Amino acid sequence: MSDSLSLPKVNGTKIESKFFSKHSWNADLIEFDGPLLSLYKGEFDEDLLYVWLDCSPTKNRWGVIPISRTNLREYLECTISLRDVFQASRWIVIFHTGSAPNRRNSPIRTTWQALEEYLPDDDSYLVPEISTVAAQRLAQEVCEEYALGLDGDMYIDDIASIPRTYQQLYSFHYGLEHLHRSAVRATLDRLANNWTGGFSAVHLFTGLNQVTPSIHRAQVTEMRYNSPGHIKLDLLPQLAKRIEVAARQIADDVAFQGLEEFYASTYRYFKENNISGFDDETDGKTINLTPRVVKRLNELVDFFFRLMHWQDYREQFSALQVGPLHQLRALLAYYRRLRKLRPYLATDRLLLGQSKLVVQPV
Amino acid sequence: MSPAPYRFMTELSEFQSLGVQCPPAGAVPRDVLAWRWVANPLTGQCFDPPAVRNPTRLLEDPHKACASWALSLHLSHEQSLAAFKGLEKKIKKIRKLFGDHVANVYVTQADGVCTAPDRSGHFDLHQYKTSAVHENIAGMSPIPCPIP
Repeated sequence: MSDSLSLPKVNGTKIESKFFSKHSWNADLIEFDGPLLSLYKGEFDEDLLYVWLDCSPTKNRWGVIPISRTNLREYLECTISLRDVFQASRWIVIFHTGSAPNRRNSPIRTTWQALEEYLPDDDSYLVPEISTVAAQRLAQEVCEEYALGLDGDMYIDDIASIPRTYQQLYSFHYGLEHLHRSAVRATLDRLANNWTGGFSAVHLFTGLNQVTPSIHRAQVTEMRYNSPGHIKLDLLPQLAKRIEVAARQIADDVAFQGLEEFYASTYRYFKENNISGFDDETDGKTINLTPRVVKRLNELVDFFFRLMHWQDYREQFSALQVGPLHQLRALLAYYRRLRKLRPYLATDRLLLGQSKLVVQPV
Repeated sequence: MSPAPYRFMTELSEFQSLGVQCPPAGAVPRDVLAWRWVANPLTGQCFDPPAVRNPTRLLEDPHKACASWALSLHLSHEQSLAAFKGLEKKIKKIRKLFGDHVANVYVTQADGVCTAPDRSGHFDLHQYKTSAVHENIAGMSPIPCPIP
């Protein structure tokens, strides 16, 4: 439906199409008969906006604009305009698609100054009248400051291990609580039905990063340690609360004993029934199980949810469309990660949600 | 009596195998005067849904959603212009994409099923195979530039 046969020339530097190879679609922010403005994640976990710019009878022209966490938050909250986002970008990449939308042709790196005719209006805010439901939901969930309080003797491997474990737990809960997001759902479905025909628990904790926009990731805002100290994070508070619930079970001696007994008895059950992959997180191939075994595995999944006080998660977990064996493997993988925090929690070297550090007023 | 076959019956039936109801539950035949953005003069693509338009604007698989097999319409002229105005503030070349006219079209129960309008008055029409909604244009007017 073009009124001209060719697109205006844009000056810039040609780049290789591998620039796009690791971009992951996260959500559409504006759409009408298809996407007009979408949020992607880049190779280095940076946020990118894909914006439709122009068309000819044979191709569409798109722009890729990097956007900071702060600007993305402010754009979603309608406090800055799309024009502001254009003008804040250090570069913009344009590319073209023809009949094969997955082929990004003739990519050029340029700047917004070379794209004046595509520059949005001054008042190009993401108002609710034109934004997608996905955009509105992204905006509604707001991160808050949260402290991982630290105390006592800490070694360099402790400082590496605590945030890494915490990030993996956070990622797990993010996935389960954001199944309504198409990108999250598609990623989890892909992880659950990957090309090996199996289910990799490892990827459950890492693969979701590509579909978690920066505004939902746990960002470090402050690190201080002089025994006591803290790592201050900006994160989604409801996910932190979920981790606190799980952490209370692992820190409490009686609850922990129950969980360990569950873990040991599940291990015995796997062994007695020749089910492999109890603690192998990379090779969870689908195997044929008898109805009796399936029933028992479902009972074990239910029991784990009760032990963790997560009964309200049961429905989301079932929505993953993987069998009870894979569900249980994923839960055991979560448990092994959570258990890594016990030495810190049990000795008060790690406090979730509070810091012992007395902040002196300036 | 079995329901009339849809214009894109094969594609819609694929959603069923994925456990997705398409057209969505709640979509019903209705008689309504609706507005659709078009080019002037009309082109062959003016009444094609996004999934079959060429070049396609659907970059990712998840976009091959049920709605991409339907025609977008608005309930009123005002709502149609308001939506266009909202988009044009951000996407400057939108007239090249959707056209620069708005047509009012008689949609009848014989044309297909309509989804419930959203708060901006937008709804989707999943056409029956026999629908000739593009022949039921009651009038066409240019979209003002700028839209007041």
